[in-house]
Amino acid sequence: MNAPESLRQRRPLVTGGKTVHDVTLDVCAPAERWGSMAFWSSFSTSQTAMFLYLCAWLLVQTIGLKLVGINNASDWGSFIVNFVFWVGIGHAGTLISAILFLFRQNWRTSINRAAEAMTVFAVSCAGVFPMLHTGRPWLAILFVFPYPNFRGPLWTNFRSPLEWDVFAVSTYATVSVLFWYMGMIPDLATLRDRARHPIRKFFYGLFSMGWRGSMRHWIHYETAYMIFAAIATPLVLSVHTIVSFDFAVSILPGWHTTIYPPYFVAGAIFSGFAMVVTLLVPARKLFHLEDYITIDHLEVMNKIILLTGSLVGFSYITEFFIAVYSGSPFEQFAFVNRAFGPFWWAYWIMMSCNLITPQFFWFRYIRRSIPLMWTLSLFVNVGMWFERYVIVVTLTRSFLMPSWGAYIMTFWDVVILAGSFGQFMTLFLLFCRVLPVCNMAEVKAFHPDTLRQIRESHDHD
Amino acid sequence: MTEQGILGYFDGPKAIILGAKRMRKTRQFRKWDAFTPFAVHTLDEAMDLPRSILPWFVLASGLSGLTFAIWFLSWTSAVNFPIWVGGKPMLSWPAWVPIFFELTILFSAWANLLGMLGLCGLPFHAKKPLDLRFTDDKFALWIPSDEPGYDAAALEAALRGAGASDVRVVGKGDA
Repeated sequence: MNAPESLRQRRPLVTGGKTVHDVTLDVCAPAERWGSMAFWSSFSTSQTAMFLYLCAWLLVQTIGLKLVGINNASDWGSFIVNFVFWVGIGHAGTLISAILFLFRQNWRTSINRAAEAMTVFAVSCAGVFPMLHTGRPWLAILFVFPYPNFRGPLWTNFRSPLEWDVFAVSTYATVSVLFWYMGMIPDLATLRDRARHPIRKFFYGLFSMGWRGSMRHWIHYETAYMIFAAIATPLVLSVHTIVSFDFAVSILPGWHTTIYPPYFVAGAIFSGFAMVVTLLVPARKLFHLEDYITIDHLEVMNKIILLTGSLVGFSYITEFFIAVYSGSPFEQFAFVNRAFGPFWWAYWIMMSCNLITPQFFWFRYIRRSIPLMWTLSLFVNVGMWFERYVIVVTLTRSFLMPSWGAYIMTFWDVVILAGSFGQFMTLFLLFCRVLPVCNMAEVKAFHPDTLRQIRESHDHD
Repeated sequence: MTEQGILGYFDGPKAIILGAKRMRKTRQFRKWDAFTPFAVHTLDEAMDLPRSILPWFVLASGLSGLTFAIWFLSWTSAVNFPIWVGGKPMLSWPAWVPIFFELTILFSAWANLLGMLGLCGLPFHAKKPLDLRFTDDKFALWIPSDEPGYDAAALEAALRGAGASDVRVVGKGDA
């Protein structure tokens, strides 16, 4: 039996009969007109959340960390939960921009810019938490980076996973910004060439570095793009591996397992793709990009959520099985405690959101239904936050009974978590207003008409 | 200083690829260039432009990052302030591999961006765009006046013969 027409033929990446010139007009439009009501209302909401965030910071720093819920039983608390959550969110952007580029997945072209922006902003949100957790963030920079000093000189402990994390996350942030910026140079030149106002001309001119679309430059640019993809691919896998080492290299039951690196990486991509769907579904409406970020793009992302979600679910079950199989009473207790201890509710939120939710994407109807996929992506975001919560907080029942205790997030923990979303959304909405949301140069290069013309030019030989 | 030369406009990627191939049938160009809104694949082959040497810079920089990391961690841990913990060797390099890796990547990434801009001569040797629509949807071949054997009239005829929809002489005597 023949497959239906829609399955046999790859659908065009740009719909609605848009020409190459339309790509320029549509993608530049949000940066060239006054924001809509929807934009300003969401922006002011995000700004308010960010303002509360800054107030909460100020209070927590001046009064002290006693305002938040950390104690001897759980001395990392929500800060590490949020840190790992945000770093994980970032991974989808690099996956789309680097790994899918190496696999020649051309559908990535219209979503890679927004996803990379998300990476940069998510990592910036993540970076705040370890700093905040030191209690004296203005000194933290001196704790984490090695520098010559008069205390011996004492250097940072390069054998510690926390120090590896400093290098991994700072390298990841730098490489993400550089990759994102380099990809934007040709599009910034487009905005510069369309600009009328001198201030716009100046800033877009400054950041487009004098790009003028020369073929000799494109050759270097394409090579550099390929190299960025090639170095960002092992980098992104290493970053969440090293984040998982923060836990796995310790010798605590429930943490000291070899499954952590792959399981963290799969979870990071899973949560990141869910966040991409959460953001792009409203963004494509708000900025009228439905012809570039089509329902087919969203469907492919939902397939990746299904794949990585199944990997994560499989890891949960493997982890539990190995704990039972290990014969170690401490390991067994750690897992039974996760599922049936005082934090059983967090465990079952995690299990239902991460194991069951993505399975709905087996159905084509759900993969292509905007309201359903958006709702499911929210469940995944919640589930992945709770995954880290479960990992961190269930240690309040560790293998030494005197160190048992209770962990309760305070009001300020919640404000800081909500506020970090405010920071993220503020940055993302600003990005949508002043920078090109889609990679115009790449969308044009993979425009159905361009592909046809290049194919025809080969047939001519 | 304004550039001088001749611009031949083509209607789209197919026309410019075929145009570049037809132009090369009669003679070779050393200094020509094309302006396109995106990287037109196979146009570089059609124009016989050389590959980028950027990967060598990135390799060199990545290796120097690795070397620096090995030296710096060995020096701080074993020479400058050695701390003997739990009978473990001073040069416990397996625990340093993550940092070796990250610094290799970090140095490569900087060399990649700066090397790309340097090889393009940007931003310090940037030239004015010859047409603002090249970053939108226009395609053109550009033959500068310092090309050996430059002859505007002959080149104009050749460009039109190669399929150019419009030809514009840039520079002296041209507004």
